[in-house]
Amino acid sequence: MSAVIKPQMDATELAERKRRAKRAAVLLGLVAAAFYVGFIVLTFYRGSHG
Amino acid sequence: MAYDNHAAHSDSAGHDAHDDHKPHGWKRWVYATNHKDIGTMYLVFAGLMFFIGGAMAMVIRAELFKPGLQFVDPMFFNSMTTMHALFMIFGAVMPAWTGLANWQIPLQVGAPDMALPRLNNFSFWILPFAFTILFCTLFVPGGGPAGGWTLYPPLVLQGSESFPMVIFAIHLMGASSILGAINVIVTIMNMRAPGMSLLRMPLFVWSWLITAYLLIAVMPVLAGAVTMLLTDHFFGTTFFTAAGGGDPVMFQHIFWFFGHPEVYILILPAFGIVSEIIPAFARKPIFGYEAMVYAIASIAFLSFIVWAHHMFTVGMPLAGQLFFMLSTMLIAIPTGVKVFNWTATMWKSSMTFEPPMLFALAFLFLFTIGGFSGLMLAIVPADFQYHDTYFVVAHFHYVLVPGAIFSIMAGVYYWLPKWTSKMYDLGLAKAHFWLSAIFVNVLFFPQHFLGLAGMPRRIPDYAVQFTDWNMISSIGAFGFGLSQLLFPYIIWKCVKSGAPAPSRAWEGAHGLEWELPSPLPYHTWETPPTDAMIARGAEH
Repeated sequence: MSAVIKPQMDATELAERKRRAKRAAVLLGLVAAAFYVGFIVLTFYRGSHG
Repeated sequence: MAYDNHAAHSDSAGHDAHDDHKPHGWKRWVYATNHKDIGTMYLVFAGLMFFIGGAMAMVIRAELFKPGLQFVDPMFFNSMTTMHALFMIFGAVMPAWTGLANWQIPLQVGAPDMALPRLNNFSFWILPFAFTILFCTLFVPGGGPAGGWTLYPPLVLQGSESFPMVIFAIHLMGASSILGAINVIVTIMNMRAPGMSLLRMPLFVWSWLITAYLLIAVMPVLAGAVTMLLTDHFFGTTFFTAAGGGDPVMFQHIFWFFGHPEVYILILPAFGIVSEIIPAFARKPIFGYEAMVYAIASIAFLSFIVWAHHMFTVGMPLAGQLFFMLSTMLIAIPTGVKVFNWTATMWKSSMTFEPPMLFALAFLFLFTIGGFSGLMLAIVPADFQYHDTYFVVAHFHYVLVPGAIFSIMAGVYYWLPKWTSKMYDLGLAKAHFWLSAIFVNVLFFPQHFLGLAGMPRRIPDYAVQFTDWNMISSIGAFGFGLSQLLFPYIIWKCVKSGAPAPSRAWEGAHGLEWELPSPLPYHTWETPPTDAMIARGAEH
């Protein structure tokens, strides 16, 4: 993965970096939420199906 | 004197001096978005929790000084063991690592700040509320949580009125950790300076990147487990209630699926710090940089497949016992690689022994002792003997106190001159080290003997044959506890009246943070570092 800061970043590049950071943060948040829900569902399923 | 007094580096500007304004007063801290301010708040908070958790440990060791009930009733004693663990793990060690990450990661990767500064502020400010709630449980009817930090049902479901407060506090801590971890990953992946490739990153950054992935994977699992406890308690579900068809052992599986990686969350950043400090004071590049990265990653991966070694005695198929025993032993391989590489780094080097190096060396020896006793506990038939004894207490305290806490202190002593632009009292810091190193062994080594002799953990009273080693252990605890008062005093004295420190405070220190001038500007790397700076920093 390449680094994204450049010595002189213009407004478009800064906006792109900001967008990429937000997208990555949301994605990681969704992964965490999936683990949270997933383990509850797993326990529920195991409880229901022995 | 080993720090470099003539090291004002002329090419070490790296910031725009015209834009170095900073807010003042309480708003600077409440609305903080600067990574240095937030890092400082995390570290101060962790220090406060360390002393509160430490005071609880003093209560425990005072009660255990001799057999019989001396000072506290058994329920309060159990609350102390539970709260001590929760405060130390979630309040002291984890926030201290996040504080160090906040301070160091942007400086070390050449980024102007963390990628998500407002989220950073939010993840810090959740913590004081979480721990206020947790601390207040001591004052509700029935007292604080007393079933152990592992919160095993059915015991925890029979607890006091503090139960929902504990669950809420744990959710808040988890949310804070996850948000902090997201910020670390996004910062490292998106904010590195040009030329700072992944394999040029300092090992502290690498260790935190891997730790952050662990956090995102397992903190939600803990949150899920405690949510199910909550619904079992208040909403009539029976996830873990045998009477309704649930399975209490399932909780243990889920808890330890979180709990074992959690142990590595507490220790992996320590590997990173020690990998920064030993080369600096050995004046040699780290031996086997890439092997260190792969070893940290391997340990993190293995941490997901060893959880049931914490619960051999609940009964599991032989194949399960063998799998978890062997997978646990596998961890010794990458750990051995790391210990070998640290040792090889020091081999034929020009070492000096300033406080950060002393703490790092103590880490190396004493963490290895904790690792060896961990290997003993991995052996199923042996674990049947040691389980829930003081041998386990000795094992994990060797890993967490001279392991995690010594390396946090090593990190603070290493970077404090950079953060404050002042040098602390090296003599006092060495005294802090020697007192800590001696008393930590007096405190915890006898607990191996107590455990092997059969003394169970989490009891306020014990049979008289355990008296002698308990007395010695308690004396060690009081000595260790008192010695730690030196730590905030040394920091306070440094901030108030320390001698000016040069920009590269230690002769052998490498890394982008040492390319920055002292005093450190409030905003750094607004102009990214040059490739020459990165190359100098990446001499590993």
